[in-house]
Amino acid sequence: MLAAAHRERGYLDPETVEGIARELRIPAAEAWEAATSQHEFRFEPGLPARGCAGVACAIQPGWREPTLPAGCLFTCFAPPASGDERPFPPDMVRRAGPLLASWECGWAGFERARSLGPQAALEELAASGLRGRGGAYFPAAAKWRAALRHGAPLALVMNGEEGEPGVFKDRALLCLRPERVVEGLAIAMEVLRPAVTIAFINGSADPAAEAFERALADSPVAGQVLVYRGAGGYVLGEETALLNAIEGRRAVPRPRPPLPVDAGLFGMPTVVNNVETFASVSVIFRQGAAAFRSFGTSEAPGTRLLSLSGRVARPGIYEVALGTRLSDVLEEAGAPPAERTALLCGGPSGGFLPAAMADVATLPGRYHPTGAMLGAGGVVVLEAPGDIRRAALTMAAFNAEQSCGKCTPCREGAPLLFEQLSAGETSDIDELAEVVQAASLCGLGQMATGPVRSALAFWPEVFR
Amino acid sequence: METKTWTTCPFCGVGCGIVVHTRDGRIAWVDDDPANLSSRGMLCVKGRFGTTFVQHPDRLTTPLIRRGGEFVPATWDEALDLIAERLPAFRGRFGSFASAKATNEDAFVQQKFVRLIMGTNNIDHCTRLCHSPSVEAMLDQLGSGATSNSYSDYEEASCLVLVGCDPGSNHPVIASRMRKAVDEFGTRLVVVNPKRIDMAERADIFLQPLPGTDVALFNGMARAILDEGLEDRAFIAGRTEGFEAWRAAVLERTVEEYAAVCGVGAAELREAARLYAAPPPRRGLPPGERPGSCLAWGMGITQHAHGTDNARALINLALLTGQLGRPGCGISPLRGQNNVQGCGDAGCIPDSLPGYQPYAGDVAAIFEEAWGAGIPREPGIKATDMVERIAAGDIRAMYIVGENPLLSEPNLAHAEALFRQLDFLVVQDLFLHETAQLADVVLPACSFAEKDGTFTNSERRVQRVRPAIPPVGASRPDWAIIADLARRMAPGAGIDPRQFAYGSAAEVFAEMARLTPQLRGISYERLDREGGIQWPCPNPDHPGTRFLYADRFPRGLGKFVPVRQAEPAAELPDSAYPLVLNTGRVLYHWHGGTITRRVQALVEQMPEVPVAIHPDDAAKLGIDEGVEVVVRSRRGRLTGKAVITDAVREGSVFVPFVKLQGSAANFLTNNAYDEPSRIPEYKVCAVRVEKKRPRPVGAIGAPPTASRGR
Amino acid sequence: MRVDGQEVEPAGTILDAVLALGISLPHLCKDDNLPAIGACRTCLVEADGRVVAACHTPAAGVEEVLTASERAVRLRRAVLRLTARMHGPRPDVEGGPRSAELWAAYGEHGLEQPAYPRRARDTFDTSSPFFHFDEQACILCGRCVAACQGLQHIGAIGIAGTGTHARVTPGAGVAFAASICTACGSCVAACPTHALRPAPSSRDGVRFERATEG
Repeated sequence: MLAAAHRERGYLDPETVEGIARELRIPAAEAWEAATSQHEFRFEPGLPARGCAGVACAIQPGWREPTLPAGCLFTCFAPPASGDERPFPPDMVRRAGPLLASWECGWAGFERARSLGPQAALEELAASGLRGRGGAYFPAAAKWRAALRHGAPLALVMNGEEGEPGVFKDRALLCLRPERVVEGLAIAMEVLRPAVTIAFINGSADPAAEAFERALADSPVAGQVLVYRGAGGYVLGEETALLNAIEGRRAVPRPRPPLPVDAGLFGMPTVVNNVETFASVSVIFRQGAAAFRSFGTSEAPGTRLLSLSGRVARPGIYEVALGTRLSDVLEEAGAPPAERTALLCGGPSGGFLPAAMADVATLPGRYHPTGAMLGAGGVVVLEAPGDIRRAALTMAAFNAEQSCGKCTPCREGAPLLFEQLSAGETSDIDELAEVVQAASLCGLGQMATGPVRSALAFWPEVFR
Repeated sequence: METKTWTTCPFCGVGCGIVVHTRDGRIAWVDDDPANLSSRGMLCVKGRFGTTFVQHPDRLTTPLIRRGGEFVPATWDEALDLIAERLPAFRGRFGSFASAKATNEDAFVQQKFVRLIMGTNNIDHCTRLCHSPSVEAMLDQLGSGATSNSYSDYEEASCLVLVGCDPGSNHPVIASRMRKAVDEFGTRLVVVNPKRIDMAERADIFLQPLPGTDVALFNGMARAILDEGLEDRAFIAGRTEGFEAWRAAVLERTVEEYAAVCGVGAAELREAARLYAAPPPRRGLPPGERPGSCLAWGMGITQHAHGTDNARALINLALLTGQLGRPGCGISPLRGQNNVQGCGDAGCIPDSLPGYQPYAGDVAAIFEEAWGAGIPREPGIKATDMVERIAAGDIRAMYIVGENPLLSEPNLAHAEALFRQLDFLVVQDLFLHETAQLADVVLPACSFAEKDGTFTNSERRVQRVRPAIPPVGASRPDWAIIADLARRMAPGAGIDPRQFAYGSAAEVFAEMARLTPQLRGISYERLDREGGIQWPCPNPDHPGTRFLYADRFPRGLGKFVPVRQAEPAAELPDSAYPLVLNTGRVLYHWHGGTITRRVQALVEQMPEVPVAIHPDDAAKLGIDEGVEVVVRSRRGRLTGKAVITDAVREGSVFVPFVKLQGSAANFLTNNAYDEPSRIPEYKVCAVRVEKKRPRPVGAIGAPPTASRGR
Repeated sequence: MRVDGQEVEPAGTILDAVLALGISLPHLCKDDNLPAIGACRTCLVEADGRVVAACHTPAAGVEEVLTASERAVRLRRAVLRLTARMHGPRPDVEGGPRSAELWAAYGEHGLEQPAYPRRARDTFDTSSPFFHFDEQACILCGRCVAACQGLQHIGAIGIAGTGTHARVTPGAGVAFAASICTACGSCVAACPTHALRPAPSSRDGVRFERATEG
């Protein structure tokens, strides 16, 4: 309701939120904290259109040193971004594999899952070895089993918030191959038999949401999925914050335990998977676990989408088998010579890496201990050292701005990291980074130091 | 020096645990007590911020004796000797009010004094003014006058029906537990109230009936339940009697006809009936358990000229649906004062001995043996009648403990005239209030914060009261004062003074527990070890009782009693007094305000009597928000501040009965009574409202004069 | 399970076990009356070599807890330095019964002077006659909100805004007196600083004017 009111008027004011609270019979303070915890809502009319402060835009000419607030508009493949989102351009798919292959009509994967029955289907999923594509790579079958173990009504949530600068692959999937995502979700519903299924799609990603809803309407699960539009930003990548947002609460992470698979949405065991994970599920049930395993490694099978942006000749989506050398992808994308090039791998939670060190396999885990990682597959190509200061400050500002404000280390520490980096006062940064990393409540806070640490580790001179 | 004392809140009947922090002998902070079984760490504004009244400079610090129209400070010996000398002459024409704010021990000693020394059962307390119709109806139909369930049942219910009560203002912690049920477990909520109370915001069904049409409303719900076959036939067959005759009475009208009488929609009435009889299960209801409904009501049911009929209609509903005797259901008359349950339990009622035991042979004999003398076996005079019968000379002397009838009686001007006719009046209290100002002797009593004892809350939980500060001035605990007086009078009455030789509150409680089967298993030692215990607790190994009526009713079968809607009220609006006055309470003041007027922050929060009026009525009368208005009835008037709100029905005004700046609703209310219970009709009378015309300051709502014109 | 070498039954959370042994450990956002929030991060301990927040980590399955290891103390101290960024030095006012918890935590970790410049927030809401809200001392632990929403089920206050814009806020950005606050005081009781504190007028009857009867 908040999202609808925001869409209608362009901003929210206390009176509107109070009215919604009355209608929902909840206290105004609770509605207000829910509304104001969503980064992308505005609370006054007539603000100028938001500019993007993502890294790919930051390295464009005319860029100003970032100040707070900072955000991303998620069209990193075609900077500088501005205005409303447009449908993902098909020509930005630079390399397609099973996930982005054209859709063959019908719901064969879903039919197969149905004929197998939930038990056998779950075994098929386990045999595929699929790991979650949100960035944490948790085995999907194990997550589903953990939720089913309770025998209680459960909730299924598709996380399509995609709030990480430099990543646009969910938008690509939803716009170009929405049926595949819908089929994966339908298969999950067949296996998990959830009491409620929610597809959560970023509040700005209208073209993606519209394509998804169209595909849903023609699917076997039409009418059984609630589509939620949020405005929550990066923190919703943390699944408990996403659940709070869906429940209409302040969108901040919950302490763990309990894990969502034990007590998630409204206390129900809850499975949260990423858009790309569901698309992979569709591939598995159409082509079989063995075919899925023919890509990638035995530990990390399948393909995944890399989002390339920045200083490359051919930015866009590259669907690669897991384990593909990152340097090979860069070469295909037309990156400049390695000695003048740096990479931001894994966005605000990842880190910078000299391109000379890019001869690494695209596998879960860190590429380098200072932060660079595969994560959700975002790779921004930069000129080194020319872009490093801008890019690092952009990410530090983003982490400070996108902190939900719940826990002290992230809320207080992330802005200090930005301030100190910006001012070139780096003496205290190690201690500060240690506490933010070790003490923050959620993974986003814990990993927020990567861009700062890695930039300082490889290019300390640019911050003096 | 700093101390912490675990004790029980002295305000409403919820009975929250509080931890009183003192610094250098003064209350510095009141904390909640998460370990308390009734409040679980919750508190409201009065418990948290309202207890500083105990150290207000207005506290009485010494006995006062009236000499030549003036109060003169006296010693305890002087005061008690004077009373001991005067009172015997009034045997047979004596009455006493006990206090539902004092402890069980205070109440027990007082009733023993009245019965044994004064030889009369003329003892009563404020339950007469609040829940006597509920008690009357419940005793008759079920055999016990107590709340059947526990607060935890509100959280386990699948439906809550709140009738004529405003827990958000008057029982805030119960309201919190009910909100928890609604918010966390999806419990359905039905609110029936002529005023749109806060809880109505969360309600699934909110019915706003015309004042005084409650019987029609509940008969209408019963009719709807019968129409849809939602009654609990097994319960009716196995546990009740009188069903057919009652059913015939209910079937005299249709749901639509009942709804029309009440001015509510028939569809809403049916839905409310469905939710009460067969609610959808709440979240987390154990599999196989029947979804329960709790029925809670307040003064909106009882304070009517047919209050007992209202209560009967509700009890009939509970019997019809079998919503009794399981977890998550039950009936709750919400108690207004901290110890209104205990004061009745202790025997401060005219028609039974402690523990609601009858005067009949065997029981009275047990008391007589224990007390070593005969006790009167005729029921005494009820509180409201004691006041009315002053005029006839039946009551010539009164001993009033912790009550201020000249704020709480209806039609105050009339009541004051009666009190002035008394020959001898003793008032024992914390403050020199309106009634005390008419007394011959005023005795300073300790507050809850200065004494040992126990309170019994609305869920029958007996909880400890412990001293946090030293007694203020020369004040003494009520039980100790009365025991001292009784020892002085005992020889003259032929009683052994050792009957009143209590060395401590614990000794008083021990005697009460011995003589009262429902309390027999409870002792201070157990309360200190285990926390509060819910009666019945018949022996020391018994854990206490969470809900009543699991297998049987105390009277055997539950009894249906046919009731029919009578005239809505004794006084209805007419052209001279076109509006209906509804009275009640507000969160920031407690009852008449004798206590809360002495808490500065509470007075700051609400300095004047608010007069709530519907926008349409206000427009007709040309009244704007916040202006001073005068409310007049045939009996008196008050001034207050207009609050324009559609929370009240058109044609109604709502005024809390707290007295602020000389204005009190009970100058307006009608001394018409419900016959079985003798409760006054506080809830309905005819008034008119007008803008206050400028007049010399002080001419309006003049307080009762301090000197007694005799 | 062993905590600092002492055997203890691993029931509840690590914090429960630590406090049951009488070991002092700050827990600024965990009220004994309320579920864990996990916001303040001042109860960090080392559990089997990992640094965890004791308040929401179950004791079951943990073998060795160190509350005073060099790493745990260093990190707690660093968190408390960040906490101190939110308020000035200790003022001469009284709070509620738990308001000394913050200062005790600083004392135990040898913190006196604020390490970072203070982040100014200066709402001082005196609209309620019962208590005041002095935002300068608020560390955004969330106890007050948990007490209002989760214990009393009133919902008069929330934490509005994100990051450093987060603020304890009555209603949709109004003063306490204009919100649905019923002044139950559970927020004041829960506050581990003096941010929410009883109003001077609510404290003591002796300073009042004599009430006029009638």
